[in-house]
Amino acid sequence: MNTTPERGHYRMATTLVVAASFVLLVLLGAPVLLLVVRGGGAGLALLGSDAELRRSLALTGLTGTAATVLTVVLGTPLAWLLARGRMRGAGVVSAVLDLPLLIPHPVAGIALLLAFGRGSPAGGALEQLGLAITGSPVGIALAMLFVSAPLYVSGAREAIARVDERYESVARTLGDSAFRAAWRVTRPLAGRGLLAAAVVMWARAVSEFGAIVVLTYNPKVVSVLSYDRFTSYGLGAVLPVAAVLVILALVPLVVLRSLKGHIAYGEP
Amino acid sequence: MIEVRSLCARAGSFALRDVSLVVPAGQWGVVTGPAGAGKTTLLETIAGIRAATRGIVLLRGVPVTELPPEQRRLGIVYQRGFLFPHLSVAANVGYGAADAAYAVEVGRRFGADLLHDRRVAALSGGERQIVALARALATRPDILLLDEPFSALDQARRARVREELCALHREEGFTVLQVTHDLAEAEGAGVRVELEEGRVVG
Repeated sequence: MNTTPERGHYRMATTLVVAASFVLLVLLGAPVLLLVVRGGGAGLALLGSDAELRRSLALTGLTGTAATVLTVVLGTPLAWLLARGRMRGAGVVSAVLDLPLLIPHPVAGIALLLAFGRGSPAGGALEQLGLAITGSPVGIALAMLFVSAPLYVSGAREAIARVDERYESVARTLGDSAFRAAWRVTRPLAGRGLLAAAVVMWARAVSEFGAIVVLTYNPKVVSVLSYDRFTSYGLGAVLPVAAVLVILALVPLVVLRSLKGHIAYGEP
Repeated sequence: MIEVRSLCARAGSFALRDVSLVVPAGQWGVVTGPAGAGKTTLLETIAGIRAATRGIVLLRGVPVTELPPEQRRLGIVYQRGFLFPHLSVAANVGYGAADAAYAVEVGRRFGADLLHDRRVAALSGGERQIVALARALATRPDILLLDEPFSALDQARRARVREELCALHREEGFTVLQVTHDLAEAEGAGVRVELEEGRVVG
């Protein structure tokens, strides 16, 4: 049975945990809530009247989707190799994948400019193909991909690793090649996890600012538009735009939450 | 025929060491031994799921040590079944079958046809084993590797499934290597191998 001093310690610990959680939640939630309360109504009204905002939202959504689709195509096989331990130098590959998450995003933009800008051989070749990365949606998508693809590969690797490898082994004894077994068995079993990883990547991609602004100020994605209106017209002008962005950010959040509940898929 | 010569393989920190055995064509071999003896590792190495670090695997008299599982023409049934949960029971049974009619027939013989409208997730452990067995046999393998395939079945069902499997074994003439803890099942086997700590001890 608990003695009185033990009960007192328990109460104190509980109070500290609740207080710490409350402080963190207020720090995270209050600014966003305040933004929506102050600018939400005007922001939604602005969606109907502000053509530049609508164009910016469409550009952000399209470039974010393009970056995500390209990463899913290129990154899923890599995630499979990493999850199944079938890659030599996996440690080095993982470090390369984590690098964009660690470097400041304007620095990422500068690195991209160096590698794919007008002065570089790759940039020259891309320009010949009509794919200049400065001042174009191509550059925006590239910047989004650079900073957010590691989130997809990491999430996809975890989703694939959760699928017992013996499903693939059985499929192979039934005649499938390694690739076919991964496609027919692992892909559908890891499907929800892969989708969740893609949603996380997309949400991160469309909120990117630092790397994009180095490559492409115009046309403006919504993060650049918000910054532009804040520096040009002040807080009052940017509030409705920022509130709209917060409201729209709830969409991937809701999708993600609904997926998380259904990610486990396999034999009990 | 299944033949392994001085086979070595690793599974994490566990090592299969210098295992040799022969199960003649059309015979039924049994592997026994305590948990952690390396029985599943042996089956997986024969199947090509796990790479041999040394030694040779011969199936039908042909060395297959370097071949991937899909080129070894064998079936494996795990204790847990590993049915594909995103597919129906019928799709599981027919997964690798070249002859759909034969797959249906095999499913019927083992009673898997009665489970066709059930979701895989709703099957009991024993039902999973039956469907997994039918799935492996539906591809008409020359070699069948069984990792305690009857462990989740009750006594009556176990006898029926085993009887049906023996009948199919006589008809089709495939070679069987079965891992079991059940000494009664090991009694009638043509070849019996006992493993302990990754080595053959009897």
